[in-house]
Amino acid sequence: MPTEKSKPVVAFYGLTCCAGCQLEVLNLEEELLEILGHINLVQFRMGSSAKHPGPYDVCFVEGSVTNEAELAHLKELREKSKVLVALGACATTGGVNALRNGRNIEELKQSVYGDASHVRTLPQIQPLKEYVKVDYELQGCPIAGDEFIEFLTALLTGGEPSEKNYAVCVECRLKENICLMKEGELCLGPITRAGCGARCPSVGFPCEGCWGPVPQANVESEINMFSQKGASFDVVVRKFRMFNASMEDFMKQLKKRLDIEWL
Amino acid sequence: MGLLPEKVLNEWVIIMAPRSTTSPLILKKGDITPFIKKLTHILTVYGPVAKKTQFVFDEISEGSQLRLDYDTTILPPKKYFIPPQEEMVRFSLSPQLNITSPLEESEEATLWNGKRFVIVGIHSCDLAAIKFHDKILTQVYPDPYRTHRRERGIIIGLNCLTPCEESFCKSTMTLSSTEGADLMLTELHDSYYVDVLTETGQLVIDYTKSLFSSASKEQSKSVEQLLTSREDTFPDLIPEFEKLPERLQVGYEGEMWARLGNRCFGCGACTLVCPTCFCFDVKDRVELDLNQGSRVRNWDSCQLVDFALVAGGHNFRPTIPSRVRFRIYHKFWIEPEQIQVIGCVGCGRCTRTCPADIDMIELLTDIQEGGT
Repeated sequence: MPTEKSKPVVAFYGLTCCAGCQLEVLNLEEELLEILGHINLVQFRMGSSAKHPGPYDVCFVEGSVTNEAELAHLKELREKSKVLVALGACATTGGVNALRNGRNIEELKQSVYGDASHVRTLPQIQPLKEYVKVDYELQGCPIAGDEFIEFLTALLTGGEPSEKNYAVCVECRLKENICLMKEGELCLGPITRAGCGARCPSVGFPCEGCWGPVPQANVESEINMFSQKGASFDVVVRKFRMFNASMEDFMKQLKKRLDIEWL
Repeated sequence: MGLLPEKVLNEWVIIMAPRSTTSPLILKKGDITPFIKKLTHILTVYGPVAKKTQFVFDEISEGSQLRLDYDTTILPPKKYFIPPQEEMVRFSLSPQLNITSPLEESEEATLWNGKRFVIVGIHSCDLAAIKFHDKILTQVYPDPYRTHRRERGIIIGLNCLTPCEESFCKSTMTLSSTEGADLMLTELHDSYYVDVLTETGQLVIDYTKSLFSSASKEQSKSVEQLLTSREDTFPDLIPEFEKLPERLQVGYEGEMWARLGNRCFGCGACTLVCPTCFCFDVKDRVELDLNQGSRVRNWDSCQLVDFALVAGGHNFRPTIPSRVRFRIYHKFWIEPEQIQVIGCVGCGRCTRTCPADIDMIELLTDIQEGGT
């Protein structure tokens, strides 16, 4: 058994988000005690109010940078951490926070807050890796518990955590799900990174893309397939923006095909 | 290139194996349930079952679950011989490295010790694919794991009497494949006509004997007619199929691949559902106790970006078009060169599953017409 001293110091922090990814970690009830046998968890607000100033061996950061204060906080965490891991859609693609991208931020503030002079916010949401060096990313809204465990075990045994550079379709076929695209649904599975275990398609819901784009995502073909299924312009844009509005390639392809100024 | 289309043809003729040597039997449809029940006492039984609007092979505990009227399944029965995820070895790191392999199991599998399984209702295309694996995974890439499972599997085949959507088994000459099956069923009114093809098949019959009766001459004749009439009822959707290897040699850089590549997602679905694809990737996995673990192989796909990525970061097939082209060349040229059999049995699963609606019949017809 490693002593507290020899165990890696691990911290969790949240920026702007619902904290659902940290909650997923807390939900690993069966495994948590075993995990705590291997790490020195010094900061995890879901389980303890204790605080720790750092430095950290591994720092997990969920959420998006939405203002200057969060940006400063993220930079500080980066400096204090040997390994920094972006946790979940908000941190890896911008998630739903990025829906503001391309819109007039002053108008948005006005419509949400009325007098919004006290609201200080950045006009664009970007993945954390656009601001600081991110060593690893765990995608998803929320992250998948089994991916978190696999990642942690790889890190603890000195292995390189593996990336799933393939689409949700792989997981769907292995589960022998009926292909929702074939059923006429608008599913982002073919251009979305796997890792969720085909969470949504397995219960009959088309993929919304929360794991972010798969490498070499064929966005053009996806737009074609959606159009063939009779999807309106508006529906296609919404579908693509839901979790991936900050993903340049997605938006570039949409712009090219659909001729939208503000994307 | 030393490819001989005649040889390819011959090989398929061998796969289109003869009918039973012992006298054929009759199993009444009403006796399927007690037949399955009896099998479950000594074997793990798999067969086609309904999954919403489609079918899958799954474990069966009741005869009523079995859907012998199925058209095709999402995954082929290869999953029982090469599981999507399979432990190759288990290990523990301390106190000292200890490695065990599932292949070291000493007890021989017999019909009676619960170590064998039976798959009921495998169609001819899938039987041909199992034969294809029997060949390539012994001659070219010997695979002890697959062999281990194959020796434990008993196969009850089922003749197709109506063509299923997207399939082209008449062109691939796999419509009447029966080799590899231990018993072969043909639906005949309210019964199944049963050909006993192997000794194992005979053992199964002996075990469930009371349920079978001898087939009459008339019944044999009816079945003969049914099976021959398929020559007319099944369309030859890709004429001169055996010439595909030759025709692929004409062109490699054609615009066809770019066109297909623009449409293809590179998602790998076609290869995962393919009964002849067998590629895998190997990973070591350590459990949360950081001591025990396993070396696991998972189905891989030549359509995925990491498939041909090697140390140093070079990728031999870095683009989707290059990977689509590779898949076609591998099945229709490389495999015929290796084992004189085309790596496609015409089941049509790739077409049925492709989220980009790429149609294998259209694609192969393009090649036949010199469209590469």
